[in-house]
Formats: sequence, structure tokens, C-alpha cells
Amino acid sequence: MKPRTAEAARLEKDYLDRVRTALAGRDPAEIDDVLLSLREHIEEEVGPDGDEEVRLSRMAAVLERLGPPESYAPEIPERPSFPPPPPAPAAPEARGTAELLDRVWIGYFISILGLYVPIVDLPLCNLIGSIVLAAVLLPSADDEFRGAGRFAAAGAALLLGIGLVGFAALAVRELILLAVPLLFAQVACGILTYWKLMGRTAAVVLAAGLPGLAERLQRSRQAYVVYCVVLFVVLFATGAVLGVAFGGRRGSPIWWAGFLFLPVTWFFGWRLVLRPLSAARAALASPLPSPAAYRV
Amino acid sequence: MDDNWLTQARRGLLELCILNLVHHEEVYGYQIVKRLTKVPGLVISVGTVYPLLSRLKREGFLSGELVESPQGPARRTYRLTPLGKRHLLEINRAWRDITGAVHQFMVPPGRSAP
Repeated sequence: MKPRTAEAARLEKDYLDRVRTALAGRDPAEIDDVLLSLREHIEEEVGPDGDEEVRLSRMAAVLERLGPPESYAPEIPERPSFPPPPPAPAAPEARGTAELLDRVWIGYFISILGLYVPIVDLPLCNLIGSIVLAAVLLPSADDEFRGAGRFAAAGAALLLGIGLVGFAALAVRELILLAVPLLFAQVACGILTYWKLMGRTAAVVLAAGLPGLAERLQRSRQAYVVYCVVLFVVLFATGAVLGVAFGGRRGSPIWWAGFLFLPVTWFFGWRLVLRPLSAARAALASPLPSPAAYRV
Repeated sequence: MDDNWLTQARRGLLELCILNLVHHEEVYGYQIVKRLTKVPGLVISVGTVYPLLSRLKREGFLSGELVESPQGPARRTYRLTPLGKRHLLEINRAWRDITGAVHQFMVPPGRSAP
């Protein structure tokens, strides 16, 4: 430590005492730490060790550069002064692409649902639709699905009612009468839900699946191929459009439902749509039996 | 300009500056003060730095070690702890996010604010 004159040493001590006073109330270890740092700082400022004493003017200049002792007090906040890092948002472009893919995917799923069910069994579609909508869409409902969610909730409630009445009717046959109005209500609600989601797509798919149209199409192999191609192009295109309109978030229940539902829909689509169509086509291709065949 | 706002902003950023400074090498307190006070835009006072170093040490972000110096008295060198390194990564990321977000609203130089 470089020697000081008595005045310089007194000035230094007075300064450090005032810093200690300014830091009063803080942890004593912290105060000692700050004072130790200040002593080191002063020692560096007064120059290298030597025989020459540090004079008052030199010490005063050093302490002046350190600033007033009172300025130390508010510099030890109780909490870190830097704000905690905010959650990092996903990059807008990546989020947009992912969202678009999700929506296309969901639209695809909805379109597949609409491909075969209207052709085969519209009430069944309403039942399935109600279950799916109630179980999947409603819990993840956001603003986009809120309207459909209300329909689904009503459909699910009716479905539950029908189920309870159905079980009760197993024991008391007269109770089946109660199921009839509920069934009508459920079908009506299911149709509303279905059309709410499917909209124009349902009309296109339903029209394409009309038996009369299918019969005419199957008279010609070329027309049938064109029909299938057009049907699937419409399916994918409307899937994309519907997905953009009604899509949800990646990882949401609807996404997983679509993923799991895909093989099921393709299996039943093949069993319920393509196979009957093939059978119908084969039947149409075979010659009609003569009227004599019906005579007893 | 609101001096209080500027003072608070500088104080908040001082921790970021110190941790980044210590990240590269072992530095002793006097060096930290000298380097920071040399940057005109920061307008750092000594009375701000030492208490902050003490706090960062207390919170485990820095470790201080007394090292004998041939030129004079023993000096306390500061080093970033593993906890400090993680904290530095976080606040650097936060700073980049904040500056990126704030720049979106910055009025370009030479244009008056609406």
C-alpha cells in the first residue's frame, strides 16, 4: 500500500465511512465487499508503490472521480435489475407454414369424412360427426370452432340421451318411443353440425355420390376413371380450402384425431364406397336376366 | 429527455455489459470499471459498478479471487461461474429479442414521430 499523508489518509477514511453509512442496512458482507473493491480502486488510482506519499490534492482528485459516497446506496437493488427473458416466440414464417400445413391436414381429414359417409349413410355420418365433434373439436374450441362447437355440444348431449334411452329400452320396450323424437333431434342437430363444417364441400361430394350419377358414370370405364380422378382432386383441393378455413393448431386434439382417423377412413371408404361401386359396376356390365327368369 | 428513464435503462444494461465483459477473460474490478467508464454512451459511475459486482458475486454469477500483483496490491479477479454463463445466455437472448422488437417501432433518424 502506498503511504499517504495524514490529511490524505483522513480524507480517504472519511470517504469510505460515508460509503459505509450510505450502504447501512445491507448485508455486512456486501458492505465489506464494496469497501474492499473501493480500496483496491483507490490504490490503483493513486499510482504504483513508491516512497513518495500520496498528498491530499491527489487523494481528493481520486475520490472526486469515484463520485459522492451517497451514490452507492441505490446501486444495490434487492432484485436483479435486468428483466427476465420473455418466452421466445416462434419465427412468424415457420409458424405460418406449420399452421397452414395443419389446416390443410385437418381439411383433408374432414373431406375424407365427407367423401363416403353421405353416400353410404347420412344419419350415421351425423352420429359419427357428433361424436367426433363433441369429443375432439369442442375441447380445443377456439374462435374459429366456437359456432361448430355449440352444435357439437348439442349433438353430443342428444347422443348421450339416445344412448341412455337405448339402454333403458333394452329393459322396457315401451321406452323406445322416447328415443324417436330424440333421434330426430339428433339427426337434425347432426345435419346442422355436418353442414356447418362441410358447407359447399358436402354438396359437391354428395352430388358426386348420387347413385344415379354413379350409375351413369359406371357405364363407361373412362368416365368412371375421370370421375374418380375428379373426385379425389376435389377432395384434396377442398381439403386445403377447408383446412385454411377451419384449421387448428399443430399438436391439438383435432390434429391427432385426423392422423388416427386416416387409416380408418380409408379402410371404410374402401369397404363402403369403392367395393360397392365395383360391385355395382360389375352388375351393370352383366346382361339383365330375361323376364322369363322371374316367372314361377 | 427524461434523465431518470435513461439512468434506469443504463443501470439495467450494466449487468449485461459486465457479464459479457467477464465472459471473455478473467478481469479484475478496476479493469472492469475502467473499460466501462471509457465507453461514452454508457455513462457509468464507479459507484454503480462495485455494488453491482458484489451483487453478481452474491447471486453466484461471478466468482472473485484475490491474486497477487507484481505492480502493486493484490487484485481481486472476477470470473464467470457456470451459473453466470447460463444467465448470460438468457439475458443476451432476451436483449436480442427486446432490441429486435423495439427496433420495429423506432422512428428512423430524420423523421419526426407521429
